[in-house]
Amino acid sequence: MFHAILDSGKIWKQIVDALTTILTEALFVMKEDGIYLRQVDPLNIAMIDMVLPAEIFQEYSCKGTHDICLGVDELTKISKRMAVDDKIELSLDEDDNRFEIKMIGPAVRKFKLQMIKPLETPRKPRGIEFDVKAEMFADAFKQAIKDVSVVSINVKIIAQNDTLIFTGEGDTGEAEVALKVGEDSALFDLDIKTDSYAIYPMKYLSDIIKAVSGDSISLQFSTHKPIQIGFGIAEIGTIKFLVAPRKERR
Amino acid sequence: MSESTLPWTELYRPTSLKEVVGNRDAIKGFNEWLNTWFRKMPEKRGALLIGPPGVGKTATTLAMAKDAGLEIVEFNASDKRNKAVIEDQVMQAATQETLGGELRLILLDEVDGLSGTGDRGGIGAILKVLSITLHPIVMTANDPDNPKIKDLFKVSRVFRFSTIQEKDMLNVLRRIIESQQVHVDDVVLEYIVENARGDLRAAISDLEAHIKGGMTSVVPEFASRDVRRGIENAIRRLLMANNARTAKMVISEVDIDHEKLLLWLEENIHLHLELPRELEDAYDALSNADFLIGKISINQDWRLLSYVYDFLSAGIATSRKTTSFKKVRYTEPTWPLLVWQGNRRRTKRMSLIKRLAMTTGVSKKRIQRTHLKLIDVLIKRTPKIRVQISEWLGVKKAIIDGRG
Repeated sequence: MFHAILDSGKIWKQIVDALTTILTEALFVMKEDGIYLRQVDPLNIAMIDMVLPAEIFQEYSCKGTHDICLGVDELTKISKRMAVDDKIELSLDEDDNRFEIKMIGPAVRKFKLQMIKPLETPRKPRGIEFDVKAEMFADAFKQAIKDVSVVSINVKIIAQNDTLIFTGEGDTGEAEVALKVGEDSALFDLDIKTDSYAIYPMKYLSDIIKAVSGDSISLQFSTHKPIQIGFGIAEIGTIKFLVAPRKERR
Repeated sequence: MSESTLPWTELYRPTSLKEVVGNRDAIKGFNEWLNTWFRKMPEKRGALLIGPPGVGKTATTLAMAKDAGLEIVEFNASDKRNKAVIEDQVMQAATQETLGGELRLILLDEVDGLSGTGDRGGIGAILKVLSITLHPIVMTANDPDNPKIKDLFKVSRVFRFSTIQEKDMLNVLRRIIESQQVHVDDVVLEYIVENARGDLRAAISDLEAHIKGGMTSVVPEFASRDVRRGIENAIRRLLMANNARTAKMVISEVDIDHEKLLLWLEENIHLHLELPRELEDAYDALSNADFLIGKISINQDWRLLSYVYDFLSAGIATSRKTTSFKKVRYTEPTWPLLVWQGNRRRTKRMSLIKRLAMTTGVSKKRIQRTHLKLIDVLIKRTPKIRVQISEWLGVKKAIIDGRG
């Protein structure tokens, strides 16, 4: 048994936007205390780790654990039909193996989605230690990525002293965005254990920034190791992306 | 995904190299190549596995990757694969780290299947990826002579896979049967294995079809891979059957023309039946069937067709009473050839009769009754006279000769 109500379609749209970035099918795990999702993209370059506690829903009840796998394309199409101020009701039709999304606005619209068989099981969390931890305005991060994307298909992120640098170079030229930590800076916290740098694929980062919904984000990375981009959703929910770096030739 | 819904070819995919059968040398070389990656980048960053379908190219790769703890990214033929996808996704996979930092094995299945106008573009894109990849790339292909993959030879280690031996296939099938806890007759297993012709995947899926079809001791039924084999299978299974019901089922399930079946049985039935008594019964059944077919073609009384099938199935199967079933090679019916030869002879003869009738102003019937015989006698007595006759009638000598 699963049933949940969200007051605004906006949050659901944000959730679906986050899934779209790297997944083709979403495997939600509905538990009594909330909805969990942890999956990697088909190329095993990025991982999404989403936690939606029961409290972000206006109503939430779930008996036992349900694995619900849905096509991301279908979810996107449905969320496009949603008005931001629609009330969203989610439920599970176990007999028919369908997931029901009801939008309650001026009209009551009901979509039933065929659940699909998941190709894999949810991933185990990866216990990764990071050397660099940065907190910054989401907007500043988005702008930095967009700036570098003008010239490069990769973005190199460097953390040294009190500065975080986004740079890239391509056939046409180079770009560099530097953010110094400070009270008035968009970068309000930078914790560096060792100076670090790594190169990440622009393709993934530019998709991910589109899905960032919160005001601030946290970045964590180490040299030649994956980067974790985390942000909040609906106050107490969290979405974390992990993206692998470019492989360096040994 | 629950286990019962997986096709057996997936369910029983080898999870470790130990479970892979056949192609020892190729697999050894392939494994050495893959292990090089842990020490240094090998000179050739791609491996090209060439061999017919179902001999374990993909299975070996997946098992090996699992043994070595590699992440796998698979691009198989069902994915939309073109130049753009290779340049984008395969390139990403080839140049990015994995999340855990281990090697990523990139499997490009059936590279000879890259289709469309982007073919060369597709191979070109693969070549480019091969030149810069930092992860091992494994490609599979069926046809070594396919010109599309020629360019890959130079930049890849090539490992050739051949068909799986019957004893290896039997072992795998027995393992599956054991884990399914069912009983399948050895003769059926042998039949499945032989039928698969070295294609283990085909054998496994035939076995699944056989067991899930609810038959564990009756002979299996499979879609024929071509017409000849279809007929041969039908006959073999028919002769394997030991009761009328099974025989009828076998025949009703194959899609073979009753006249063709009759001819094949007529040609081959003696291979299975050794006793005169059995042969007599079988040919009785055949002639009854043939008689009914004649009735049908004259009166168009198609209701009789089911009796034809009764004679051809139950009649034949039950005629084998003592001789035990054995596998034999069937030959194609010679009857149609004989009929054709006969027809040719008859048309020649007809042209001679027509000619004679025109020249002498006598009916064709009368020519056949009197004149032809006379000409025969004349030729027998003085063979030279043929020349005169042929000139007189304006017919080729060969026609007069050939009328026998």
